[in-house]
Amino acid sequence: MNQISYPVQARWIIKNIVRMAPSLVIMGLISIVLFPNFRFIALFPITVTALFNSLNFSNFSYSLDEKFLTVRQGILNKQERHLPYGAIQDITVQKDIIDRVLGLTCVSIHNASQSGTAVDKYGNVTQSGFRMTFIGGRRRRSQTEIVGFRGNLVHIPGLLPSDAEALRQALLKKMKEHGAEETGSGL
Amino acid sequence: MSNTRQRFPLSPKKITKKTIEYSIYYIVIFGSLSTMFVMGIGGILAEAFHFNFGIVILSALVGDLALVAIIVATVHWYQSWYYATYFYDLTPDFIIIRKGPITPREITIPYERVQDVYVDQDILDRTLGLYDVHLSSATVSSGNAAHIDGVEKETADGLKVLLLEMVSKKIGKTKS
Repeated sequence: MNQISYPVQARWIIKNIVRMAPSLVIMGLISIVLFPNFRFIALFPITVTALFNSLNFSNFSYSLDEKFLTVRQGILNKQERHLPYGAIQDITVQKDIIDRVLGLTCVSIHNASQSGTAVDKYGNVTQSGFRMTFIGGRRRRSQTEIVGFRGNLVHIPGLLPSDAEALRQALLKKMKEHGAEETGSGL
Repeated sequence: MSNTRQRFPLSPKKITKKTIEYSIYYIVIFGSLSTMFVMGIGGILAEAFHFNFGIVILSALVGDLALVAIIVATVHWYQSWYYATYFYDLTPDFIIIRKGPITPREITIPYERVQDVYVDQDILDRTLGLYDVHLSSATVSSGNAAHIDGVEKETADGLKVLLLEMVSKKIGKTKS
């Protein structure tokens, strides 16, 4: 059970380009105005976005090992995270409008790590409504979806719906085998 | 409709509450902007074509009423759809909550991960007698993501008791 069997589909990259479309168009127009002799510069924003997302996509991999969920990501900075199943709090499966058009689903896993800031699927820092803009999170509001882990969230977008369901079942099974760690509840 | 929803149903008053809440929100946003817009343009036209400014005010009012009606109708339609596709189920191992008519968002929480269950009401809930049942786990934002809102007192209590029971059973098992 890993990236090989439940892969992130390549067409996920289209999604971020579409989400960025308004700002890409504006940046393109601005660059045409600023550099009228070099109009090809207008293509730079879209190529940079596409390149950045393709690199993220190819450098991301996850696998469901015996005791941990291992997630690898990073273009220049290679990061590897081993998440014990006991620390996973909940699994969210969702798709937004562009996902529906492309036929993809995303799976998010929230974990209970103290070191993680609470993050949403675009990488914006949220903490039950109180938005911390300076400490440990992105400063501006981002609208492109992240792939991989950030803060207390592991986000795997761009899966086929059947794969997403299978991944969810596999994770739930693993979570059931490994009980919750440090249950703080008084029940 | 899941078994759980049959036993612990959502109240139809939820549609009313959400309609009121979002209608007020959109009316404030669109109403003020559109009224200012119409009055502005109308004023300019009245000057240019020399007709009574009273007509402008009257048409702005009529336009506002029509706008309010459209907003309320649209919001109500969407909330009824939302209510119909709202899904929650308590399986033996975990709880699933799925909301959203167009782009559903589904959250699955195993019972052992539930830290506490809390029930609250906002002002509109209080006037209509509705409650929200929240499940929080160790993540900070989870109380907002996993909740069943718009249930009546009996249902809220029933859900709360059942959830706490299932959670303590599960925790009891893993401890022993």
